[in-house]
Parts: sequence; structure tokens; C-alpha cells
Amino acid sequence: MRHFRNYKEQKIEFQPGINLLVGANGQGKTNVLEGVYYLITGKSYRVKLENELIYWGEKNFYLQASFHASDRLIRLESYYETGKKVMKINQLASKRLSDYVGTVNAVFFSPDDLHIIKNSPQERRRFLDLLISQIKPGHILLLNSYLKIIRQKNNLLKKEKNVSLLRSLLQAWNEELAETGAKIIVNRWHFTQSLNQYCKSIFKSIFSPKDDMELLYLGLGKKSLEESLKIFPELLENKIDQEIEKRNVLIGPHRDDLLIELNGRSAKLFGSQGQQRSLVLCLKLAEMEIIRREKNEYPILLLDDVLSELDEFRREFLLNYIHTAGKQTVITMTGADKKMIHFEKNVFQVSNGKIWRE
Amino acid sequence: MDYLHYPRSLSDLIIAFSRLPGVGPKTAGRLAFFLLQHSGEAEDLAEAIRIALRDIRQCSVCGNYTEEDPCKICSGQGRDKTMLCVVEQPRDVVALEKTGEYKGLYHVLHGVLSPMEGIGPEQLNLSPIFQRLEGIKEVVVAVNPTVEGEATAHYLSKLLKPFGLKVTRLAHGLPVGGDLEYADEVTIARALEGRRVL
Repeated sequence: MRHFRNYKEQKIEFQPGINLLVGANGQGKTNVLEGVYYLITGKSYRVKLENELIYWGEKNFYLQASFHASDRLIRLESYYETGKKVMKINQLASKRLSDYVGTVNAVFFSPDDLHIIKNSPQERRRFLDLLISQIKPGHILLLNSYLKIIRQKNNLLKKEKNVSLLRSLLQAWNEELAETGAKIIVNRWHFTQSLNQYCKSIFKSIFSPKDDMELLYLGLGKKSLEESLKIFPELLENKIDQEIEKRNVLIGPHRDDLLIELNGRSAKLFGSQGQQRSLVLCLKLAEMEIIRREKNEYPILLLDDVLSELDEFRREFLLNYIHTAGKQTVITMTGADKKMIHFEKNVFQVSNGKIWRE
Repeated sequence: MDYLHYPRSLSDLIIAFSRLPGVGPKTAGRLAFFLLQHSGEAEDLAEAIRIALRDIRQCSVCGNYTEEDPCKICSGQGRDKTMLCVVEQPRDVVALEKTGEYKGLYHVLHGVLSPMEGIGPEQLNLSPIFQRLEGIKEVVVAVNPTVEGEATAHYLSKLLKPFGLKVTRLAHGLPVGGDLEYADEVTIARALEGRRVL
């Protein structure tokens, strides 16, 4: 890492298995995870503008890491200065993000992931889309096209005053929207199915036997894929009057939701804080399993301060899971929590932008 | 900017060049200085621009650039007058003509629908198409496969439907002679959707 967050220049050699980043708050533990995540996905999960990632007073940052993945050594690099972003795989620059994402995989888990359950549908769509993009890079291109269609349609709704012309133009954009939107719905629906399957089996291990869960993708408010796809063109047509009145796009997969149910009721509305946390754990581990299934190896697991948030039983389950899977994991924690982990571990001390191995 | 230190007429020239597509401020400066040093070339260029602006106009039938109106294709013998190919730009006519495969007529829209840029049907050379449909059996919509191009194609095909014509769209697929591995995911996915039985 060079000029990244609070690191002027730092090298760190993570070991196979469990790696701990230990230090007081505000020393830069999470920044390391963010750096790894940025290298792997080309994005930060914390900020939208990369300028905020640059070391105070500098003009650029540079990240580089070598990974053992798919039986080989893969070197990822990224360089950023205002208006210029270069991502390289084994020294070759990638033209598009979709060429880059998915080369190395990671699952990131922090207390903020509770948002997936508690916040707006946008968080759940983002969770799904990120997972899909790691496995099907074409999904990013679909989302980009879709976004453009929505922007064009919104502009049309706001600008065109002639209602009969507006109506026939809307129908043309709707055809385009239906075609691209349907592909997004299909992808999200299939991945929800897989997530649900893995979630359920993990759920059994950390909830009581009488509890039950279900994940459902609500495509256009419908629970079955066939139904969503069948009603889509008709729904678009029927909404035209309302859209003209509201001057806004009212329907499409950009308003869909992933329904997370606990014992037949919405986990968002009826789950306790503890239940919601455990459900996020299920989702994250299911994400790991899907990536393992598709890529034939476990992704790197990045755990930001989550161990102290889980009760002892679930923490032990998670640690056992990591230990059994034998996958490389990086965990941040404060010094006092270190004793929670009784498996073999590699400890790195983090203090004021400096890291050293204990 | 450096060119503000130049004499007024020189900086005007540089600014005029830098408004051209694909020309940045550095190149604009280089072009301007070249012309000052080679006054013969400069005169020729000025003359060529003046003549082109004077003589080239849009064909009143198809909208393509031409010196005579109607253009050679619209008035040409040996063209198939039952086929009409709709394209975005005059450049696209050249691209299709170069193939030698297409013998029908053209219609140039001079753009595609894009509400974000304020381009609606009225800003395009679109409604004159409907005065040209007599004797036409097939309309080939050959706009680019972008989001805006597709929407334009959908709009056009809906307007053409009542005329009972065959309306077709160019196929999406892999570039011939190219490598599968260099195509992007969406292109490959489209090519898969449009696969044929051998």
C-alpha cells in the first residue's frame, strides 16, 4: 500500500489460515481490509469517491498484492489519481471493470452488513448484484445498460410535454427496458435460489430446530420467476398513465426487493437484533459457498470487527467454519478480543498507520 | 491556457480546432502552427472547407450528404426500390455501400432518440420516412446496437407496423474474423441467443 488511507507505505505478508489485525480504534485496521477489497473488486465499500482514499496531502495511491488463486499466482495492482484509474492483472491493464472483477474473490463481512436486512431494498439489490457480478461479469454490463435506459426514460418523462408523443416514445423505451430488465430479474432470481439453499443449511446449525427461514426474490412484487416475466410488459404498459402523471419511472427491477423471512414473517420487521445478525451471518457464509461452488475454491474472507458482535455460540460456529474450510481469513479486532480465538493464528499489530508481525 | 498568450487571431484558430472531435488543445496548437508555416496548405484547406460547405447538402429524399439533389443513390438506376435501410449517420451509408451486398435505398436519421440530450423524433429526420413507403416491401433498421439505438428501432418499428411492411433489424453477433475471447460478455450472450442450427 502506498499513500492509501492512513498508510504512507506499508507491506504486509498474510499467512494461510487465520490472520488477525489487532489494535486500538482508529489505527488503520479496517483500512487494510478496504485496500484488499478495493484491489479485488475495483471499488470501495465505504466511499463513492476514490479521492477520499488518498493519504492526506498526497495526490495518488497505489495498491499491489499477489494472490494464490485458481492454482496460480495472480498479481493485482491499482493506481489512482484524480481522473485516472488503472487496474492491472499480472501487469496487464484491464480496460473495463467487468474484465477485472472475479479474478480473485473475497467476501467482506462487517457489522454494517446488518443494513442488508434492516435498510432499504437498495441494500439487498446491491448485495445480490455484487455477488452475481463476481461470478457473471456480464451482469455489470447489463446493470449499466439498464441504468442508462432508466435515466433516458426519466428524462423523457420530465421533458416531453406532448402527451400522445410521450406515450408512444415511452412504449419504445419500455420494450428496451423489458428486454434488459428481464435478464437482470432472471440472474437475481437464480442467485436468490442458490443463496436460499445454502442459507437454509447454515441456518439449521445456528438456530433452533423449530426455527425456519426463507429467501424470496420479489421480481416486480411477484414471487415466481415465470409470473414476473409474464406480467412485465403488461405492467409497464399499464403504468404509463401513472408515470406520466408522476413524471417518474415507477416500475422495473430497480425497485425489486429480496424478502428475508424468519418463521414466515419479515425478518426486517419482526426479527430481533440478534436474529438479524445471525441471518446476515447465514447470508455471508452462503455467499462464500456459492463462490466456492462456481470457482472451485473458497474466497478470501475479510471480517471487520464482527466477532465481538456475535454471541459465543455463533462466534464458535463461525470460527469452526473458517477453520474447517481452511480458507485464508483476515480478522480485525481490538487487543482484548484476541483470546476469543483458540485456533492457530498469525497476529499483526496495527498502530497509527504502521503494521508489524507479532 | 497557453493560447491566451498568443495573438488574438492565432488563439481563435487554436480554439476553433480544439472544438473538433478528437482534437485536444495540444493537437489544436500544433495544427494552427503548421498552417501558419505552410500557407499553401492553409489556403487549400480553407478553400476545400468553403467548397464543401457550399456544395454539399442533405438529399431532400433520404437525408444523406450529396452534391446533387436527389442524391445518386435515390435517383440511381439499378437500385432495388422495394427496400429501405434506415441508418443513424451518413457514415453508415458508406459502411453499407462498401459491402456491395445491399442494393436498396437508404434513409439517414442524423442521430437517435436520446431524451438526456434533448433529442426526440422532431430533432431527427424521421417523419419524412412515411412519405417514402410507397412501393417499399421491407424496411431494414440498421441503427447502432446501443441503448438509444435499440429504443429508436423499437419506436420506428411500432410506427411502421400499420403499413403492413416487413420490418427487420440487423443481427447482433460476433465480429467475423475476430476472436471469441476478445468479445465482451454481452456480445457473446447475444450471439448465443441468436445461434443457428448447422
